[in-house]
Order: sequence, then C-alpha cells, then structure tokens
Amino acid sequence: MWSRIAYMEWQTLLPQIGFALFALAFVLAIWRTFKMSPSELERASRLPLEDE
Amino acid sequence: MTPNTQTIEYNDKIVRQFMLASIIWGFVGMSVGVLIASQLNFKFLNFNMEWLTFGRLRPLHTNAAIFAFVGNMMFAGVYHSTQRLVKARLASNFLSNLHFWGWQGIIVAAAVTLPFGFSRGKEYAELIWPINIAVAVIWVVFAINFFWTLGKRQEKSLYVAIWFYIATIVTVAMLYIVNHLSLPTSFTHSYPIFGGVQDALVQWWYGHNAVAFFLTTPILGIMYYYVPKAADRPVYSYRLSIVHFWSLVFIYIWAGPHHLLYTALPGWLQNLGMIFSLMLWAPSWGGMLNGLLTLRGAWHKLRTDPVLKFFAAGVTFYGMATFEGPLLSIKSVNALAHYTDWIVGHVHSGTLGWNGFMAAGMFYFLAPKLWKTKLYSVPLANMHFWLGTVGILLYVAAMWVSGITQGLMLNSLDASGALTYPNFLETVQSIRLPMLFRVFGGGLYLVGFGIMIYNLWKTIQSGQATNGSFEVETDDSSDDSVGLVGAIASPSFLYSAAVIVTSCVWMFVEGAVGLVGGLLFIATCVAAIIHFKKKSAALENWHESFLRSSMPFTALVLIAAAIGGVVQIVPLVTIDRESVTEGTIQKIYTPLELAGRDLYVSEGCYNCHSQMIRPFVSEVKRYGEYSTLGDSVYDHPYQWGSRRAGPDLARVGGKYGDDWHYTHMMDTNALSPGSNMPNYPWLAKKKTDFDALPSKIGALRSLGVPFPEATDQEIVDAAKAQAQQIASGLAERQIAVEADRQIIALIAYLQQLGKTESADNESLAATTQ
Repeated sequence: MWSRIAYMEWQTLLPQIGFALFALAFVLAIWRTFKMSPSELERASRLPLEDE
Repeated sequence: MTPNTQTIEYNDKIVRQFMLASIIWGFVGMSVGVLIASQLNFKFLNFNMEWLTFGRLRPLHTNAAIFAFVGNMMFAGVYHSTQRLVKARLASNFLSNLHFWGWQGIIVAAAVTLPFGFSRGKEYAELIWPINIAVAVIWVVFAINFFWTLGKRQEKSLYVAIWFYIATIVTVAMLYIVNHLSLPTSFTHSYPIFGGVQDALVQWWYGHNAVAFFLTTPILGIMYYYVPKAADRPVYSYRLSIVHFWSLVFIYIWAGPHHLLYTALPGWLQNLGMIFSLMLWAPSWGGMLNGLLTLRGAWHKLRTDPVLKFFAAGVTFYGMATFEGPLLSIKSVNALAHYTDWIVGHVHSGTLGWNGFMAAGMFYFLAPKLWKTKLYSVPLANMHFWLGTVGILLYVAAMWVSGITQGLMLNSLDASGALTYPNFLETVQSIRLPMLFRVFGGGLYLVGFGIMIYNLWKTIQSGQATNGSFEVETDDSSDDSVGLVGAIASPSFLYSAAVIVTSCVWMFVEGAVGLVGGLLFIATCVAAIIHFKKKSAALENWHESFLRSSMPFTALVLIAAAIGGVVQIVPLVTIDRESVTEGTIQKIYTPLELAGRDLYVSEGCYNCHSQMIRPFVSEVKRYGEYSTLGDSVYDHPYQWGSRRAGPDLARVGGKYGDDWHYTHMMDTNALSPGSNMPNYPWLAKKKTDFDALPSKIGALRSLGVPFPEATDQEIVDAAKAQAQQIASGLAERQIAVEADRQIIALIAYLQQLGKTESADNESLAATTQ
C-alpha cells in the first residue's frame, strides 16, 4: 500500500537544497542585522513616527 | 516655506475610497458567510434557487472576504502608509482611480458571475478567465503606481513595511498568473492548462500563498506601520523585522503541499510541505512578538484606545493562527483534521481575528484622521471589539468541536474492524450543535461589524474629508542607488552566489566534481574573507544601497519567493507518470460525461465533496480503494476538494442506480433524511449545451487528454445517444425526464467516477506530452 508514494532518487535532494538555501539566507540576514549600526536601526524604526 | 523645503499633499481621497469599499464589501461578504453557514443547518435557506445554493455562494463568500474586504483594506493601508513612509504623493491620480474603479468592477463582475455558476472550479480561483485578465491588468496598474511612487520618494531608506508591500505585489502577480493559466472554450468557460496532480499542486501553491501574500504580508506591513504609529513607540526590534521578512518570504512559498497531505501527491512533496510549514513557526512568531512588544510601555492604553485594542488582539490571533497552521500540517494531526471543520475554524481565526481586527484597528485609526474629526463613540468601538472577540472564539471553538468530532467518527473502527459509523449522515447529525454555534459566533461578529459601520458613518458625518500633507527638505545629493546589474555585479552578490553553488556541488555531487566543488567552496570563503577584511564596509554598503534601489530589491524578493515554487512544481510537471499511476489510469470521459463534469464544477460540488480517498483503512472501507494519481490524470481542473460536508465521491460511480441519483438530486431528503445538501430541481429543466462539446473536447485534446478522434457532429451525436440511453433507463423506472436535460449529463458523470482502466504505455505517453 505504501509503495504508492513516488520517490525518485534525485528528488530526495530537493528538500536538502531548499534547506541549505534557506539556512544560508537566514544566516546572512541575521549577520546583516547585527552589523547594522545602532543609529541606523534607531532611525529606521522611527520612520512611521515622523508625523504629518 | 524655505527654498529647500517642499510641501507634499498626499492623495488621501483614494485611501478613503478604498477604506469605504472595504467596509461595504466586508459587510456583504460576511453576510453571505452567515447565510451559507446557516444553510448547512437549515437546508430550506437554499430556497431551491440555483443562484442561492451553498455550492455557488461559498465561492462568493471566500472571494468577497479575500479580494473585496481584505483587498480593498490592504490597498487603503498600503497607499496611506506608503505615501507617508516615502514622503511622496502617489505617483498618478489616473492610475490610482483606475486601480480603485477597476478593482470594484472586478468585484461586481465576480458577484454577478459566481451565483450564476460561472466558475473555474478551483478554490479562491473560481473567477472566469476574462475577470482573471482584468485582475492581472489592475494588479499591474497597482504595481506601476506603487513603484512609480517609490521612484519619486524623498525618504531614501525603505522601511520594512514597504518590503512587505513589495513582496505582496510581486509574489501575488506570480501566483495569480501561473494558477490562472487556462485555455478558453468560450467567453465564460475555460480549462486550466494543468491537470490532475499538477493542477492540485499549482492550486495549493497559489491557495496557500494567497493566504501568505494576500492576507498576511500586506497586513504585516500594515502592522509594522500602524502599531508603532498608534502606540507612539518605535517598532520593538528593527533587526527582528528584517529577519522576520526574509525568513517569511523564503519559507512560506514552500508550504503549499500541506493542503494535500495523504492525498495522491508524491510523498517527497508532502514531506517538504510539512517540514517548511513547521519551519514557519519561527518567523511567524518572531513577527507576532515584534508586533506585541512594540506595545511595551503602552499596555495601559489598551484600556482606553480601541485602535490598540484591535491591533493587540489582531496580532494575538495572528499568533494563534500561525501556531495552529503548522500544527495542522503535521501529517498525523492532518489525518484527523483534513476535510473537517477544524480547517474551516483555523482559516476563520486568521481572517476574522487577524485580518478583520487589523482592518478594524486601521479603520478606527484612519477615519478621524482622514475626515479630520474625532471618533464618534469609543464605547461603540469597545462593544464592536467584544462582540467580535466573543464571536470569533465561539466560532473557532465550535469548529474545533465539530471537526474533531466528525474526524474521529469518520475514522472510527469497531473491534471487528468495521466502520463504527458507516452512514456519513450520522457524522453530520452529530455536529449540528457546533454548526449552530458557528452561525451564532459569526452572527455576533457581523453585528459588531455593523456597529463599526454605524460608528464610522457618524464619525465621517461629523468631519470633513481632508488630505494630509508633509513638509520635506529637498534632497539634491547625488543618487547613490544601485541598479540591477550593479547589484548583481557587486562582490557581495558574486561571493554569495559562488558560496551557494560551490557548497551545493560539494554536498550533492559525488566523485572528483564534488571534490573540486569543496575546494572551490573553501577558496571562495577565504577570498571573501580577505576581500572584506580589506574593504570592511563593502558588504554593508552593498546592502544599504540595495535598499535604496527598489527594483533590485524587488528582483531579490521575487527570486526568494519563487525558489520554493520552482523546486516543487517543475519536478512534478516532468514526473515519471508510469511510476505513480500504479497500473491504472482514468477512463477518458465520453462527451456527455464531460458535459456533466462541467456542471459538477459549475454547481460548486467540490465545496462539499472530495474526490480523493486517502490510504486509511477507514476511508478505503467507506469509499473504496484509495485514490491514485492515475485516477485524475485527465481532470482539468482537478476536483480533489478540501472539505467533506458530504461524502467523498471518487468512486461513487456504479454505487447507486441512475434513478437513485435523479431522485436524490431532485430531493435529497427523500433518500437521505437529515441531509443538508440542497435540491437541484433546475437540473431537470435546463438543457445541456451539446453544441459546446466539440470546442471543449478540442481544448482538452490540445492540453494532452487523449480523446479519440471524432468530428464535431460525431461528438454531439455520441452525447445525445448516451443521454437517450440514460433517459430511457429512467423511464423504465417511472421517471420521466427528457434526454437533453442537465440532470442526465450529471448522472452520466457521477456514474463514471472511479472508473479506471489498465495503464498502457501509449496512454501514458499521451499524457506526458
């Protein structure tokens, strides 16, 4: 019954590639945010508060 | 005004228009929701009228809630906040007006066509192809207006809310276009170019991400603008918002297959959908916490400020819904919950709690500002809040009870291994009470919404429409933005790409090539370290300049969002069908069966009946052998369904006689006492459109369905002959109905369901073209 699930050799790589790509993007984003200067962070976070 | 300053008057008229449209359509959509929830309890509310049946109105409800209510609300929020965040007036009044009136025209067209049964038969993608084209055109108008405004901006940095808006615009365009690719057969009818499992995967890639990029990302952008604004505090963590954005955009797109767990979808895709759904927990909760913690130090305002009250509750419901979503994506949980009301409850905790409350908070925030007055009544807003909150909780709790009860009953086996509740209707009767509570909860929410309309109406009456304005210093400094080519050619991008490619080669390729990949990976890392050691600011500058150029940023977002879809859809389109059809393949429909199938789609039968038997003992015992990919390989559109208000129909063919089907469709309670399925008397009166069949078969043939060669006349004659045969059989059983009536075609289709034949290489080759 369970043999119905289609599994081809090369397809098993896809989740791994996907996870590797995500991990890389995630690490880059984290690294980037920690490299941002406090003044830039402060300025960016206050952008909505600049009133009319 | 000094020589170096400039006063900008915002286009707030368009914001007011979208806001009012959202409120009006929201009330309409929610009212239809209460009506169809009532129809599940009180069958007479279908009124035996074709344009008021559950199957036709449910798409109207979902489309109205998503595209009319949330869509208009989103446009109001995007246009209002973007102008202020980039300190520029909307680029074009003409495009703004075209966007508004075009979108309302689309909604009216949907509200007319759906009740009349013009449907593509795919959830949240039911609208017919001319309306699809209109949606795409108006979306492009929105995109041009938005990006043009960004191009005119006085504030160089793009705040994170704008990132979410950009992700919405590019990703929705991609999803909508791919899932609506169709081959028209007439002005009101078309077939999706994808069939069977491919159509199912593309549909839920779209359907799930309609939730992600239409109901979530724009509202997150709105959250990142309006919550700090209303609380008068900066966002809790800008760092977290950046990580939140990229993680969400990257992961969300992969999770679509969790709508197809335990179906005939290949297992690797199901696993991928489940894993990425679980990964979504982190960014979703990161965003939720960022929103809630922005209220730090302002919690006391929640007692008095209805705006913050709605925002806090809305973000909390976002947390609840995004906890429940991954939970339901765990296969063993999904085995119980799928096809039940639990899923319906989950969706509504998101739409009513997250979308509805964020909309209400935004409306209460905007109305006094846009009409330069004060909110008419804070107590009425508070009443709205509590009616809405209690309404949602009643609704969701009732759906938990209903879904779990029915799921357990349907899966239950007795000691001998037989079904404990073999009659599906038994399970329907057992959830009558929670279904009533759903109507009550939804009704409370609707009453609260009505109070908001009154409150805002009185507010608007007391004020005067006013456009906001802002004085900015003109910036004559040189343009430091970077173009798309410049962004890609930068060392940072090239190093990143090289690291990805070489690491993939190293990890996934064996032998000498893999070894070379590993060496190149190390060399790339060393070179990057040396490079950036010498020019330490280079990478940061690249990222900063990236954010100052919206188009390269947009391209990067599109790539991040597209990866998941490409990885999932491309392999399935090129799948080795022979290995998955398990030796059987669907029989080609006869012309009359095809006509009946189109009626099945038109009546929206998929809203209550699935055609997908999962590989569980209980399902196989109840419905027959589990479904395979071969069973629906020729189905354009696929009709696997997502909710079983009635039993699965994948193998109903031959289970009952033609006379049973006729009697059942005319009066369901005559054969199924207690059934909440509507009657379909008009099917015995309306005629089948035989003349349309040749063009329909021609279209399907060009999509790879191997219909036998036949002239147009032969197709029509074959359909009429089969119809006559069925009508004669009914006459023998004292049922007088003319052969050219729609009910005959529908019976032909129902009797064909589940009929397969041995799969030979020739027929498989035809389907893989």
